[in-house]
Amino acid sequence: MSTAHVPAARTAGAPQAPAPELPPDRAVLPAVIGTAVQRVDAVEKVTGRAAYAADVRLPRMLHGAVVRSPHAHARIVSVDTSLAERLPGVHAVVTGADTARIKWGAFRPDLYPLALEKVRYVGDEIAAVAAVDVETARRAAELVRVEYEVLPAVLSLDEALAEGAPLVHDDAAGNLAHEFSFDRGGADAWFDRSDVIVEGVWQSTRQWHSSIETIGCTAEWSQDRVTLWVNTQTPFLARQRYATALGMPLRAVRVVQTEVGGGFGGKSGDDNTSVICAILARKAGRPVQLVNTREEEFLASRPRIPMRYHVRLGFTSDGLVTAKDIDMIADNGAYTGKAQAVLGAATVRHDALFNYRAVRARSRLVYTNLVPTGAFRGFGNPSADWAVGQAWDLAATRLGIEPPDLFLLNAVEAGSVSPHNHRIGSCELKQCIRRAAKAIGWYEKRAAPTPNRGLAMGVSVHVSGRRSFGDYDGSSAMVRLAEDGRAVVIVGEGEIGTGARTTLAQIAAAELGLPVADITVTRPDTDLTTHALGALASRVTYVAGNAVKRAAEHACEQLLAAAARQLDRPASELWVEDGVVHAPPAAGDDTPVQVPVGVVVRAELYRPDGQPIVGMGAFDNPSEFPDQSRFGNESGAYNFVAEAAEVEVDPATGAVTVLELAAAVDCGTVLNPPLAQGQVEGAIAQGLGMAITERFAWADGAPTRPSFTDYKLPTAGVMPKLHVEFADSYEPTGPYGAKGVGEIALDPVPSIVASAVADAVGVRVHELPITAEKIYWGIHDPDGRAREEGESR
Amino acid sequence: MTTLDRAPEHTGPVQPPVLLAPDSLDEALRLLAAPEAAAVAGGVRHTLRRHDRLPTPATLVSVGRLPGFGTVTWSGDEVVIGAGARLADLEADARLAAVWPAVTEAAGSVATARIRRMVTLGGNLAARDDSHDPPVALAAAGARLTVRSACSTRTLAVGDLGGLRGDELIQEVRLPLTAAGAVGSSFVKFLVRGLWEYACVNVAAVVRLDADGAARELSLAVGSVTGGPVLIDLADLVHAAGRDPGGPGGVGDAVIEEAARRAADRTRPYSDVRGSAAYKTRMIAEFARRALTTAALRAAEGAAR
Repeated sequence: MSTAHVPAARTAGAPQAPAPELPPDRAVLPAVIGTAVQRVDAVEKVTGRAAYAADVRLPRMLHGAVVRSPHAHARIVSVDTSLAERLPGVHAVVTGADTARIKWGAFRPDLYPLALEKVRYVGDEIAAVAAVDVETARRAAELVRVEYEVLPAVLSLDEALAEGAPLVHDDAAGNLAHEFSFDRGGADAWFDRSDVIVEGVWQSTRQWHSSIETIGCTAEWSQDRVTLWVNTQTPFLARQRYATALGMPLRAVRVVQTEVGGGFGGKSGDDNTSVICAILARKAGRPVQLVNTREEEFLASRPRIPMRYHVRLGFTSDGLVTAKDIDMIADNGAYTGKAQAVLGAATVRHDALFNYRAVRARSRLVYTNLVPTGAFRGFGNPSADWAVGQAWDLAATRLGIEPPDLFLLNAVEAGSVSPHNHRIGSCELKQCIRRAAKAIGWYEKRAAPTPNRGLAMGVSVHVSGRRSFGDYDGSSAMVRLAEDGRAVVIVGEGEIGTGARTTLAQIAAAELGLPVADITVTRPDTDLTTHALGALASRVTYVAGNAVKRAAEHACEQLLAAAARQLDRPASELWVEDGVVHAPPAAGDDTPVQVPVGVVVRAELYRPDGQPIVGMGAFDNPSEFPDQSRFGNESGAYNFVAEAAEVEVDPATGAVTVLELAAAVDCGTVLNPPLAQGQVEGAIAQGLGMAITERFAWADGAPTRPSFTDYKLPTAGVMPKLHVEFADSYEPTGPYGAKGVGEIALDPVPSIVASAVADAVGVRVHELPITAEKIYWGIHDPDGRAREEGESR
Repeated sequence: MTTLDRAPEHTGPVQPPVLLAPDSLDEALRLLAAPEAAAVAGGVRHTLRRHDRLPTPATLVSVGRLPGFGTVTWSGDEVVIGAGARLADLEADARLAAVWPAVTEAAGSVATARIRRMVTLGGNLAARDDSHDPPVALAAAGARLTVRSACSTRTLAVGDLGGLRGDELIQEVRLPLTAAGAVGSSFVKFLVRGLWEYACVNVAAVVRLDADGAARELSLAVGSVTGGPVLIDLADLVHAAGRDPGGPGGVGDAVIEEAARRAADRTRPYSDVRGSAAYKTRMIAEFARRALTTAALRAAEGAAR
């Protein structure tokens, strides 16, 4: 692959200050940008050589198993570990007594590493065992005798909010974990001036990440320091939380990222697995590996937060949106994790889609005795976009305006500022709406309707990084040019399967003039790599991409300065292409000068007082840390999507077939088309799971069968014909014009499926998932009478 | 969720089961006579049991590769399917599909292609799972099962499988072939989420027409219900079925409606992740209608040939 770095005017020395650049002519984007570069990890993954969490092997390593609560709410009367300790092969049994008795959590510390006094959901961790192998450990875990006093539990939002409801945590009156509200622009006055008002209640449900690889950790202590090999999305954030949970200083914990077999928010360090692993390893005096079973992943990971929205929208008779009012309650489960931050995104983000004159909201995060919830691809926006999207769809019907036209009438544009001060930079939302409508054949299908088929459109906005973990959403990187001509990009962001190491390698290659094959992007290790927040909030391409780009620029400046000295030519005459430093022929000579990068680097090292060439770069998202009412520009760049779907419903069964789905995505410059396309297609599949297929039967506060037997992910058989398009777009603050793309395509899917079903057969489902049964009863028994009779049969 | 606080059944190390590989059916039957021995063919059921942490037998007798155990043989009045036949092979058996499409459709409805290459017909039946697909089709088709032990041979209907003893092995499945008239059959499986899993409801129907095209036999079996597959008694409808030029395959719409109503009334589905009992009852009627309609049309097509 040919890569070229054409020298631009450069300032010598330090990395450039984060000054906004003018959008360069896109025609001169380096060739490696926007190219289908093969993933740097493709071969090791398809040949099975990639080392995931459970592939870590350390000398003398033991295996762990966890004792979990079978009750949704109970007082622990006693824990007897004596039988388990006597089982041959068992090296350590730990309980809450072996912990620092410190509550931890990203925002609201309420979780003990191992339960003390009480358990609060089915799956809550009580004790753990380390033994010579997994089977022995699990058998020993079954030998731990726990005596419970079962307590009344709150197993739904309604039960939790009922007057006099049992408290999940004694310090959370009314079972409220968090709440906030705002009224910006005077919603009542705008509703008074509205010609059309629509409203309704819509509820989402738990969805599990269902990564191919479950959460896992290997821990090893060396004196007072523990190293954790974890399949985490966020090594540096995890280190901080795990240190807190262990009651140790930050310096005592080192986190190393293994290969990550899917993250989707589920491996962002809010669960106890790694903490328990460390506690076991300390007590056993040997390395311990602890990997969730699939059942544990369902019972005790941090699935998507169910949210119930009451939405009210006002419009003028000609379709201009006036005001929006939402009252939302969210099911936190038993412990808080990142749910508090998710609540924020789920309340304000969608206000950056349309030109609302006024927005009012009240959002409450409610404790229940159910599995704790947390981050999941979309971070609250799929639930928000489903509820608010349903209200917009109702409004389109009431106003007699086709949804794409209604969206175009109200959509934000570049330069718009949301009521929460979200400052929209590049924005091709309108282009996306038009392209999605065209791709699905909206107006043609409208002109020739087919019975039992329905059309719908939805839109969404997402961030490229989000300032919510303290007043920092930055990344830093080092680029070391090696004397073998290669470059090592040292960055703490990591790879969770999205292809981040490949796109970062492309950015470095473009900036350095090296082939991608000569770039190595390191995995995060909190001891060795630069600080980073990790793979969440669709931030790596934008935030880390900028940091890597600046570090590579800095390295390239040093390289050219060294070459200039060595060749006795001004640096401005030099450029790097395909791993070779080029200069035009010297005066009186007609042979161009070509020196391999490695030769320059080596000569720079080997000269007297020689120096290594290491570039450094940093980027902090140009965003604001929101205040208590969530006012503040969350991100420096917003990405957009419009999606349209056509479905067919079998009225005799209610079964839905999604026939076609068109997605037009504005993620700025597409750095690597197949990787971006994969993100969009995967997100749509996950959205269809949330919308249609993924659910459990529940009893006594837990899924009755926590396995993939009941919990069904979408397969090829349910995938519609997809049309994926990328808007012609360029984000001036992004690396080569790029923005995030990892989450956004999931957000509108539940809403468009529901709206298309309503368009097809006139049934609007108000609680996810959109099952055949709900549609069937909506058609055949709208008042619910026959169903009651059927159940009493 | 009850598995978490269950007391362990034993605390010593778990011994892996002993796997015995006999060379002949007779040898296999002798080995199965031992207590704690169980047959294994495709191994799917045992894998699922282990997955659900149910106790595993101490001895497994491998019958999947016994000579002749999986062959399909045709005689004048019946087709005999060896119990070791893999579902994937049955699914692809064109001759069987021409005569008993309900059976090949049911075989092809189970799980995924990979699993169908493992699962044997006998293993699928012996698992006695009311949601399995092949038993529904075989019940409607009136299949007779030859069941052997070391010291006995008997013939059972699908509905008698509850009495299968631990030392017994299903040897073959026999399906009748009709000389006169025409038989149409159909199996339908409702995958409520549109992807492979256990059925929400599964129904099989058989319609037999005499040489004049009049209905002589109607059969309907419903699975995924308590005690399933449940055969729905339609004997008294045969006369009424008569010849209705307006109905599918000459079977009157009213008869099909009545059969569907009975299927719904006489079965007890259970609520689970695939739907409430009330919804499943409605779906049993719907899919009984669809299965009978297809079976009747197929019978009429056969009669016309």
